[in-house]
Amino acid sequence: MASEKDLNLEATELRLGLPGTSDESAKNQMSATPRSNKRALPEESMSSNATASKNCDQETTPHTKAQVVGWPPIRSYRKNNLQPKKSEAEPSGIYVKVSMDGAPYLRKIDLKVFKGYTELLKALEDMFKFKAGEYSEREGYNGSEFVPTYEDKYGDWMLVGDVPWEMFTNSCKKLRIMKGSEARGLGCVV
Amino acid sequence: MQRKMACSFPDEVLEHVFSFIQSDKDRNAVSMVCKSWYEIERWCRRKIFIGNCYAVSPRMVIRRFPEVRSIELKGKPHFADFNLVPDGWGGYVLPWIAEMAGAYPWLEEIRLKRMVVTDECLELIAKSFKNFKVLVLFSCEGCSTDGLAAIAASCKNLRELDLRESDVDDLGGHWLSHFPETYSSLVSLNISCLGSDEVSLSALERLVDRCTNLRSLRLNRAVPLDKIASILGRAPQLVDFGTGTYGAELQLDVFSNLAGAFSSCKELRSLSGFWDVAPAYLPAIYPVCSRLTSLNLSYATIQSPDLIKLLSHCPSLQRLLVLDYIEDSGLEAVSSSCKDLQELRVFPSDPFGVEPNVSLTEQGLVSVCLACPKLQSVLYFCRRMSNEALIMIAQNRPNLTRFRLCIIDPRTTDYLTLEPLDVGFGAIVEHCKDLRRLSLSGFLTDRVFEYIGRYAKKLEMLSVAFAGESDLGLHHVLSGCESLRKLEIRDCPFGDKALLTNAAKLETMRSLWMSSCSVSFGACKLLGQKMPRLNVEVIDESGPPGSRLDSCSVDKLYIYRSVAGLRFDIPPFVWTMD
Repeated sequence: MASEKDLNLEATELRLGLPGTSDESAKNQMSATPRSNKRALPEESMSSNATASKNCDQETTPHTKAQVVGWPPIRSYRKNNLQPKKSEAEPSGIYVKVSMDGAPYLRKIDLKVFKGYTELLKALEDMFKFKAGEYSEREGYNGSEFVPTYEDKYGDWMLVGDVPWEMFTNSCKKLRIMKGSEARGLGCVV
Repeated sequence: MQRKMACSFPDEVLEHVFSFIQSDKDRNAVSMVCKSWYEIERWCRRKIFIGNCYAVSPRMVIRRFPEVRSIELKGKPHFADFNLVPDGWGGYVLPWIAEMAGAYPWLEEIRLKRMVVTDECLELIAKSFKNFKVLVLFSCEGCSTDGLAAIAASCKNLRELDLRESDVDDLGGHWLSHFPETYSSLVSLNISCLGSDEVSLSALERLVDRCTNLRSLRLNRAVPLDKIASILGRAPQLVDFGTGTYGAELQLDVFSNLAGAFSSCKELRSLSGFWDVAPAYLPAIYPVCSRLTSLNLSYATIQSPDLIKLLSHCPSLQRLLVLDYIEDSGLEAVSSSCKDLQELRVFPSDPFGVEPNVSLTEQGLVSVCLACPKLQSVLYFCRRMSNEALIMIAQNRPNLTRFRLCIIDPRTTDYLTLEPLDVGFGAIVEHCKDLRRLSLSGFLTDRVFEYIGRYAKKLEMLSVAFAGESDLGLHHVLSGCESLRKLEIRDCPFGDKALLTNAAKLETMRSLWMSSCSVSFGACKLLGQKMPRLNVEVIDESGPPGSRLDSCSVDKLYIYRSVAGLRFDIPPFVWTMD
């Protein structure tokens, strides 16, 4: 059997270049440096396999690693079912769908990136081009026909802003910006 | 006279003979003998398996096989399980259901894997198929318990409802009450994936009570431990049971009820569930352990000593799924108690931690492989490996058919010699001649692919990540692995040359996935143009690849053979090359 190095790929290959030109690209492929079993700082990113990882000093190694999407290959429900305290290891945040009455398609936002309701509302207003009105505990959202609501984990539709922020991010399953007469039932005074 | 031999039996006789032929491969072979056999066979084929829902269209299937009763469809590529396939990619089952609603009114079974199933689909199923019996949604998404309610309400002959590992929007437990009081034909129910805290326990108990043929019941986490006894009490004939939460404060009466309930389940062979385990309650299952053939403890955060005690009671175990809390010592114990073990899966408890949190190494795997003569299937997550260990496994366990090893840190070398793990995996493919599925990890050069191409002649599915040095690696696999059907690659320096050289090979496979490799957009276009029966799909969420140079690498590439042409449900971030 001919050695693999003698493989005559040219005879059978489909090429991009003109016949007669040769292509050295196979030899120029980046080879990743091996990782010995020491914990090095991985520079992995989804789009690049061309970085040669360097071994860092142990002191600079962080206590959690940089995340590579989809690695190790474990299904999300398995990650979620382990001890619940490990949430900081998750690279993905709390993504919830956002719908607005009348809009043709939904959006998704990551609740984790917001520090509180003010930031969230600002982002929603930017995303869907509306103004939410003034929130008060007594009256809900005053001064706008748009009312931000969310579905909690028990399936109930709630007004955004009533509960502490942490409680909200833990129980919010999806967001819906209600409009007009439907919104009135939740305390919007228009 | 001889010309007439093949047709000398009346059609009914041939049809009767064909009814004994169940396997798809054999059926396909039968249909190719002659035209009349093709005709007879297509009218009497009742069961269809379609490994890629985009390889063929519903109309084509219906046209050829008009009398199908059972269909199995798979949608998204396997790497969708690890979030590598963006939302909205495809795999919608609605077009299939819509066509089959008209063409197959007597359809009884639908099994789906990695497909998008909406409530609308479920409602359509409930409405269209009067004798519907089996619905299996394996790793599917897109529906809610409202859709399940429709199935429950309408499918009077439903035998099996299995939602394994699917993402179903759980709106609370009331859907179970939609099974009519007269309904009693349930044989298998798997709702373990439902995530709501609410479940209608009374509806569940009533359902279990009246379905006296129930053999398999897998509950979800919302069902508390103290309800298990009452449920099992109504179904002592169960063969397979999945608990809900298995933790609570220890109460002696609850414990003794539980132990009593388990003891009366004389047919019980398989257990799973075990969320939030309280170790004090584990002994309640000891009465059934000696008969257990399958045990899934992969959600059970119990430590090695408790696991060892439990597993020492399970000499008949054939299938074990467990977290790496079992450690090498636990696996050593398994290797001496569980001599019938055929399948082992060890999952990581702390996959993103930097330092190992448990003492689980390659030694655990080696001890099981050496001591369990029937072991065929392995899925193992660990943090270190050596060629020596792999060679020992290969030499002692040549009967392995599935070997999936995940060394958690990419490109980890042999920890003893600091060399690549080429030789170790090479030994696996050389000795395990019936190996059908292989997942590689660790630091690997092109050499491992040379071994794979040379030896892995029965290999059907190969998963590769962070491995190889050049196109030669990919070329070895594509040119050498004769039985290859599915190849999935991520983060490897494989580019155009191997792909284009082996373009014809791709038509003999179901699919090829390559992400974060070095395949250029130009090569994708060329492949799409030259191979009309291949669908070449480029997935790129950052914008049209055509706006960049042909020499730019594509982000993700999915190539599959198809007789249906390009699909018409392409999302905006997927580009087909033709």
